[in-house]
Amino acid sequence: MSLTIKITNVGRDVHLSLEGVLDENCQLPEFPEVIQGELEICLEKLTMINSLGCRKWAHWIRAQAKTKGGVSLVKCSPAIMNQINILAGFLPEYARVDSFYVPYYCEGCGYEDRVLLTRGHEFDTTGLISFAEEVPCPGCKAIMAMEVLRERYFKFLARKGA
Amino acid sequence: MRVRLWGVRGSLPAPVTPERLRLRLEEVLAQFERLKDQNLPITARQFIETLPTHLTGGYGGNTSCAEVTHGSTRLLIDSGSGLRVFSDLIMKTEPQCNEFHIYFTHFHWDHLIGLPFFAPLYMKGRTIHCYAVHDDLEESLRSVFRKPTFPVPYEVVQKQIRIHKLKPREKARIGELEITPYQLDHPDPCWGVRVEGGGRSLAWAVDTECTRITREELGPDVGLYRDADLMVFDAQYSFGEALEKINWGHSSGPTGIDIALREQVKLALFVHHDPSSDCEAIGQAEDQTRQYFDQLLKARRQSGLKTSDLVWRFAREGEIIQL
Repeated sequence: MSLTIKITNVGRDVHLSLEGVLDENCQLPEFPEVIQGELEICLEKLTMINSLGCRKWAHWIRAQAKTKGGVSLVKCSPAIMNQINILAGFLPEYARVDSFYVPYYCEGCGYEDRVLLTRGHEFDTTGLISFAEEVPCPGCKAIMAMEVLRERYFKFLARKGA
Repeated sequence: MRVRLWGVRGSLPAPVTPERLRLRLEEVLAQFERLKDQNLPITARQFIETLPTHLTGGYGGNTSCAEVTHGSTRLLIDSGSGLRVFSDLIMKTEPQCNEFHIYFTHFHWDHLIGLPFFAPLYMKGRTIHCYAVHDDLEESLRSVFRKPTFPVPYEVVQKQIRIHKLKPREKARIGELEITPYQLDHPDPCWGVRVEGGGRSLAWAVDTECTRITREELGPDVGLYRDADLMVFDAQYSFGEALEKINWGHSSGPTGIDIALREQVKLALFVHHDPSSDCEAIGQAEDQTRQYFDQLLKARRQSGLKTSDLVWRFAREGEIIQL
């Protein structure tokens, strides 16, 4: 099980993409100088994180606190959202979730999908603003429901800086 | 091999206060009354089985002490306040027992506090074998029997004590048990122990912060955990607390879960509960660990990884585990 990291410089911003598994064996990148823009971290393809990886992540992300433009987590996968809500410390105050996926499931045909919620559209610092708990299934046109417990999955929104 | 936990608290004994016990009784009786009002056919015993731990016996208040037995051999691990309870029982059930073995992981107060109250220490003809890796084992024991903190000087008990210095990571035999010390991650030198007997193994990992987490970082100390039938692990803090309390020397349930999964441990018990945590808080930490475990297994399944048969729980004082 391994972690693939891709780093792209976009002007003064740094875009980081993590794919695979975040566990105790992962090596997170070191930035020799303070990032002058924003550090954007894409977690769309992060499939699993364990507590040992989370601890490494928590120490690493603290080291990014000096990033001038802040730290943004985007396209957070459901695996990450579950851990953000369970393992305190994964999301420090100066890091914010700018977009995350909500998994849906269709009881009619078994179709699974993920819907992306974006800050400023479906949620903001006050909580959920425009969000559908049920959506039509593209397969059989029945209703797909969220495959998560609302009070648990969106718990992180109540945290300062979320 | 049988393991009995005489003390599962860390840092300081944490007895239930009379007020908290009264509140607990009130809550339980109120719930039982409600059931009876509904004319449900349930006995008091059946009802108690449905209650969460924090409303019944709780997790316990004595500090670290465990008893491992196999055949005719009995080994005690640490002498926290739980040793006093063991002593009381031994004096009633086996008053003629004249030989004891105590392995010391380290000498923080919560792991020593029961020693002056171990009755066989004061009885002629008794031998208490004391084992540790530390060079200053005897001096550390002597420090417990010293005025003004304790009125009985070490010289009174010295004749009953035999000191055995163990080599790090080398197997030693105690009767029908074999023990191997492995280093843990704690502010002062602390040596966990692997105990083996009858084809079964216990990995005693208390106290530890588990700062070395990869197999490479653990090096030879990974041998403590490998394929253990039972792992007893330090989970004093919640995961978030452990992240904040760096170098405080203790770990959390989720970390223990991941070590147990990786090293194919069969049963994991979490101990060293924080003295500031009432039983309800410990129950919440256990629930949080359960949520973490369930989500992790789900993620493993979805990633095509094999699931796990690991069984675990937060330990209660007095538990007996037959391996």
